[in-house]
Amino acid sequence: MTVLAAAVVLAVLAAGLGLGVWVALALFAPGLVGLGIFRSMPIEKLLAQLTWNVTTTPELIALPLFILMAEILFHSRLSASLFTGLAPWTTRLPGRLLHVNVLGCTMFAAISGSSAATTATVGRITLTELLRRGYDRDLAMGSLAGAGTLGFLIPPSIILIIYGVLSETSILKLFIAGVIPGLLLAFLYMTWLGLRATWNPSVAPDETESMSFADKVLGLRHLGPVVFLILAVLGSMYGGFASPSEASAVGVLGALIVSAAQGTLNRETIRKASLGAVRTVSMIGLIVAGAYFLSIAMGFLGVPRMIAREIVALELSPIALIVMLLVFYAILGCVLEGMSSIVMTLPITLPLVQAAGFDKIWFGVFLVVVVEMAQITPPVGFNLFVIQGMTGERIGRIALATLPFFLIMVGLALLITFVPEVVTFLPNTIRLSN
Amino acid sequence: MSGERVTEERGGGARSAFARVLGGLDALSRYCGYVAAVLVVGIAALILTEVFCRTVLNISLSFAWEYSAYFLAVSIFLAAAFTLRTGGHVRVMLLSQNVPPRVAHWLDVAATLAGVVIAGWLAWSLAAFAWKSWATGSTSATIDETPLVIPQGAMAFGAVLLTLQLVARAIRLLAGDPPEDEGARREFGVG
Repeated sequence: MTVLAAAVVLAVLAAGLGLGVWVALALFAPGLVGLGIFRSMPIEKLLAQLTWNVTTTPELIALPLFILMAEILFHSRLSASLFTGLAPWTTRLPGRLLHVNVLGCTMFAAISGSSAATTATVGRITLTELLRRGYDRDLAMGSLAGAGTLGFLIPPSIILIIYGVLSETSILKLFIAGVIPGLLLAFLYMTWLGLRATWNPSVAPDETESMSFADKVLGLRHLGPVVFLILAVLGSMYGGFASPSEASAVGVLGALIVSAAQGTLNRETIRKASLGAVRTVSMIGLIVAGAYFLSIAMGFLGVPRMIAREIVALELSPIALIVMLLVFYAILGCVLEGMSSIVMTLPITLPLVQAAGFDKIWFGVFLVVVVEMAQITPPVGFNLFVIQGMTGERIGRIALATLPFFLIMVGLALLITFVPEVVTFLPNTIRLSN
Repeated sequence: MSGERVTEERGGGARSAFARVLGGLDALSRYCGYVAAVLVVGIAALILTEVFCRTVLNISLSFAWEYSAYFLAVSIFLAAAFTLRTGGHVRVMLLSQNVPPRVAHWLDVAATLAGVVIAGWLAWSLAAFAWKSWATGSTSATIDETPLVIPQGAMAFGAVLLTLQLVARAIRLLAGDPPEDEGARREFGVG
């Protein structure tokens, strides 16, 4: 009976997604069909109640605000000032301005919760500049696609907010846990860029402009707006006076101040930013509602328990289980956008890894790394789409250029599997004041 | 006026009346999208006020959290039709990109009709939910005692609008018109 229910649920989900039904709506279908066939219960009541409960979750309030903040900043001149401030400091590194992609994305990731927004905002200036100056096209595109994914790992992070809500985990702790793996990933990217430039110096042309040290230091004022925003958002969270939702509201105010200071704050900016934000909010919100309904419906049908039993019967070691999940998500990430693949599999995978003795916080960060991989695997990879929009290059070429960065991510995923302390050290050490 | 012309005008009139209905639906979707955008900005304003009152004035504004949660739920649904029309809801296009255009067209029709059924189901259940809150006069379990029919009704309205917009999408597909509003898609498709 449960096997049949599981088969029906999976078949309906796969059919809906494969047909091209919008992910949010496709997520509702398996529960509706499965409960309709196998359980006699008031489905409509359950559907409405669950949708209401999850969309009014207070923790979810950070979601629209971080999205709104990113939209306001996208319409500001922040990416230009990021480039001007960072570029002089990279001219002596092997690979020169290529590092601006990584450094810019790392800094912007600390104020943005989305990787597509990070890629789009930072890349708007850096990619144009790098290509104009004759940097290696593949390295410029690949490092942007790779570093753009830091938007999800370095807090704030939309994925971690959604994971926190669905798995009932502290979002603040998840945010703290993402810091070290995020910085580590940025460091690995920069190491790779440095190695490539050492092997083949022609990937990074000579920079003719040389600046005195004093000028460089003076140039740091361009980073002022970003640093101000990082302090406003992360400072208010880790300083302990604000929850992630409150910090996101402070972030919106900060973004408005930066936008006003740069002279980009006008009616048109506000109109475009708020409409752009509400589209993303609606898209993600409906997916969250669909995923929540799916998870409860599967629970009623006993599907997660059955699958868990089957997997336990395989007697995998915890590490083998995680490696299996890594492969599973990498394949899923090829056809599905990362966030969707997480939310629809969470009801099954979370109990599994918890039973295997892994920590919920750790698994959240692991999933983010996995989603980041999904962002840059063709045919469905949002960062690849963003870069395609900017360069007009074929997806295949962009994906190939991104491959080394994908492999670095796989390396990071394996590292945090074998050394979980990379993730759990900070959240276990920092004592939260609120 | 000759009889022939009258028939012709009637035919054209029926088609233009149809176009007017679809256009009206688009306008309504857009207005609701604007309202949802205002609600999102409203959430920021509410939470900022709450932060200010709590940290500076030492006053707790419990309603800020309650209303923000309603604003979020309502904005998700109220903007859903606008988001659909401007191509903002994600979908897996793997199959349809790898089949001949004619097959892809019918796949799109089938996906849209499946969407009508699911969104319709959701709209029906949310409407019944809101209706029950109205009939029993249920209010939130907070001191503000907000009548729950207001946010729940707005959510149901958004879900109905999404369903209608999906129906309109199916009609556009069958009539050979472009299903997405490309202009708006370019204008707002940021990330």
